[in-house]
Amino acid sequence: MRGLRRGTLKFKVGPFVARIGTTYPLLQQDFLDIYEGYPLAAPEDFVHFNLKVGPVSLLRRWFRPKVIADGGFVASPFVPLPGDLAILALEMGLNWQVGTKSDQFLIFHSGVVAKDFEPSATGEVRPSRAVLMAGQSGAGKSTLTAGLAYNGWRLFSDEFALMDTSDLQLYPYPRPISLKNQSIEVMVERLGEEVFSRPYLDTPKGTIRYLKAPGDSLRNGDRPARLDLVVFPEYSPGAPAQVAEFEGAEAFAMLRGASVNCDRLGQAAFDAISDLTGRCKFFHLQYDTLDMAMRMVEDLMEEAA
Amino acid sequence: MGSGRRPIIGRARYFSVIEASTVWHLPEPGSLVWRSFDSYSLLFNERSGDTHVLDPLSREILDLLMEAPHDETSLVRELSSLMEGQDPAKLEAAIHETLEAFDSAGLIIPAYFS
Repeated sequence: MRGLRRGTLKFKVGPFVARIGTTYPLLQQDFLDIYEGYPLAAPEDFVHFNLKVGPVSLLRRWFRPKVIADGGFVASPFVPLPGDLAILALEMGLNWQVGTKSDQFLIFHSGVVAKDFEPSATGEVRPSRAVLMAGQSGAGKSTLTAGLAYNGWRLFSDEFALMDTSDLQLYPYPRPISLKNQSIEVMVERLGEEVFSRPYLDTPKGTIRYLKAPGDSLRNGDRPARLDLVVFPEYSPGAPAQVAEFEGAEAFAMLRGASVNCDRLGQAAFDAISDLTGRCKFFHLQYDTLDMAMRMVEDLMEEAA
Repeated sequence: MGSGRRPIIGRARYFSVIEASTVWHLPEPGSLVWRSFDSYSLLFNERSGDTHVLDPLSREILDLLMEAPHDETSLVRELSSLMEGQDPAKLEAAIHETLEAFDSAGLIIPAYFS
């Protein structure tokens, strides 16, 4: 990771290689903290995403620092952020690049975790089985993803599900999990401070802390999984637990609504989402506590077997 | 995605005063990809890149238009015989509404443009 101290660093995350460029010391420090353990890319590896984060002007490097991500767009879609929040600029920049420039995958805006299985006594390898968690911002999908990722499931992503439409396999994209506001306290209580970034205060989404990706998800970052279960979680404090199954055209419409790039992929996306609609189980979950939601997902995955 | 497609739809929209006498036609039915789930049909239109979810009545209407151009009156007549017991006024209104939706989605065009 010394490369970043010199200004740039190439690292692997799932099927992608990203090159990060910044000379901003605070961002270098924050990045190395939350991306500790990620594999570095070789010099000859193809770079999928180039992202620089720097001060908006020379003056703003030193005086009330303000930074902006630069992904090489003619008209930048990014907004400047205070220097203290530079890591958010980098994370949002990477998300934007994946969401807009990765049409080799059908992408869903969702969390994904998968169950891995040991080979059987006869040496037969069972495919990993994934659950995709989609829903509106604030529905609790990142918290549920984080809870499962540190409780026997392998983290694929808390942001994007990457699906190869040729074989309907999901590919891991294990980035640090962005937790916000009350969910930070819930997860710090479970996992301790050491797996979290420092808190980022007064962001556009309130307080954010990044939860580091578990080591096994980085070590197995190229191991795909079969999607079996799709859930739409909804955190409803004080409400009773509810599970409602839906299927057919409604399931198709809900899954399609979670896709980021189905319009760009055309018929390949239509075929893939139709096939998934016929094959996967779909549920809406209403939950009150993280433990309750995690039990629901465990049970539903058993049922979907 | 031929360059001639957009003006045709534009003209269709310009003239799209849905009258019972307008004869509707479904251009290039081969560009439609279908999937069925229970009573609902999913339709991907290669020409527009749009996806549609069709209820059984909408599917019947599109099937009839695929077979041959129809005006609203003939669709009402054919579907009334298929769906006996339906309130005729409600069926007529539903067919009218569906034709409007198909027209604005670019799925059908008046037959005189074909």
